[in-house]
Amino acid sequence: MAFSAEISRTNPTCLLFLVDQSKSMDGPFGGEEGKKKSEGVADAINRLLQNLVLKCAKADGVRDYFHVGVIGYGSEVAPKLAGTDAQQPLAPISVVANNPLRLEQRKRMVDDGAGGLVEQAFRFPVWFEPTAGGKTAMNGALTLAKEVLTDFIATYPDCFPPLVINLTDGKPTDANPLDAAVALKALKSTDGNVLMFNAHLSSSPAPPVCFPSDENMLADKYAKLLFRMSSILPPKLMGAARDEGFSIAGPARGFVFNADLVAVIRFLDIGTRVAAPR
Amino acid sequence: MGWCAVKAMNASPLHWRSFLVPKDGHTPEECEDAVAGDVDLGRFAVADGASESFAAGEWARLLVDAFVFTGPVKNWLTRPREDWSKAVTGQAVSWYAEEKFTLGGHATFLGLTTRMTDDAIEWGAVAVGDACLFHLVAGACLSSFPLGRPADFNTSPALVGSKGGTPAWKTARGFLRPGEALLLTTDALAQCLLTTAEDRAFAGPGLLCLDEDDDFALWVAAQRMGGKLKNDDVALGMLEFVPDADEAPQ
Repeated sequence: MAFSAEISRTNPTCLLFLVDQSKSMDGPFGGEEGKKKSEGVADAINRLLQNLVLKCAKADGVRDYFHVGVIGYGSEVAPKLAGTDAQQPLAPISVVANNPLRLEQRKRMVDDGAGGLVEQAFRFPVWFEPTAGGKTAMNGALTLAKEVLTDFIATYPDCFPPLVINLTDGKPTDANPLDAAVALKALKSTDGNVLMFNAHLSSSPAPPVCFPSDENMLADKYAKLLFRMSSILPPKLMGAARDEGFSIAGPARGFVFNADLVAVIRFLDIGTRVAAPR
Repeated sequence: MGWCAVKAMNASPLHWRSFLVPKDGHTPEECEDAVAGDVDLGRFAVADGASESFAAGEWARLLVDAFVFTGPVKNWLTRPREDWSKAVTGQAVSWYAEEKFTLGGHATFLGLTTRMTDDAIEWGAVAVGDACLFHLVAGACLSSFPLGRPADFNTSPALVGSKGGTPAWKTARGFLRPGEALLLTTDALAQCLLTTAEDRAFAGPGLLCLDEDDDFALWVAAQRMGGKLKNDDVALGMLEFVPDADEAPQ
């Protein structure tokens, strides 16, 4: 059965993030008042990486269940994660965990165990700062992603299929990225095809949409393009999405509009999860 | 306890053996399942530390030991929770360890208490999550608790946390008669056993024939290779009511 390969240190899978850093990302983010899209993307990628690290963190360190890369596309198309470069575009998650740009001191309210709330300080890792400049070379990013994943699958041919997560405002300027997305999704390990998810951050304040099955639910033509580029959730991930409380109907796609994709990280099965939301 | 351990106490009608096998590719120290039992105290337990929680194996071991050696008295979770905090304090140095320490360790749990009656042993079980108890009578699975079908398992079972909270305990009771057995297992083996029961080829009696750790490890390896047992840590405790024993339990 596809999408059933065990994710382990000897058989890791890959998460490749494509991050739109183009000029248009300087515009306002409809999903959160007072925020730019570039800030929305930076926040999303930092939270995705944080969740991924936490998933793999044990008392004795971080286990390399995942190899991770981030390809930024704006003024240039290039690997952007500390510890990666054009020759080594992926890093084991343990390297990512230990190399944030900085740790921010933040505060949050938590249950005090007696029916009230108490303020708690915590350290939030920042790997990405908001950036906006240049064109939206999404097609170039997808082409580079295909090269990166071709090499990864050659090294780990039996891996759980790699995931590509594209965070963008959806206005490609180099070429129509649909064909490049189709080519990327055609890559496969023995366990199934590469999955492509898209997180669309729009200036429109339209309500968030998660894992839709019909593009007519989407008002924006760029959202529709990203919807078409997104993989249909395989049955196993559809079940995981339902377990996380998403309402899934029909052939749902790995697409969210003005919403975060952190749930996708929780879909990845490396063992028993703790249901408490984060 | 080593990576695979057997305890046998033959001076009682209760015969207890336990086994622990880590996930393939993991070291014995990385095993996050735990099993404990004491025939004299009449208490037995298995627990499965949740992979994504912090110091989960340590928490699972503290839970089973507390249940067996202290018993399910009022507030019995307080001591293992304190012990877990003491054991892991100082380990949370990095930002991610600090964050996971805040959330605590988590584990599924199954505990069994027994009491001798005139002609049987009355048992009571408490469970949180998907660790299961099987009651074997004449080679068949009379009942399982708390889950009854292979499809009942998922990756987000109910858990007992090291940082507080009131677990959603489920309870069951029954009687164990001479020649019968109870198996306590963590999720992977429980799901495997329920599948064999559904297929009318219940594997429970075969397990009762195993005495040596190597035999059980081989059985586990064969089941994993055949795709019948998920690659996960495995804990098994087997409690048999042996009719010919010399001495009754307390």
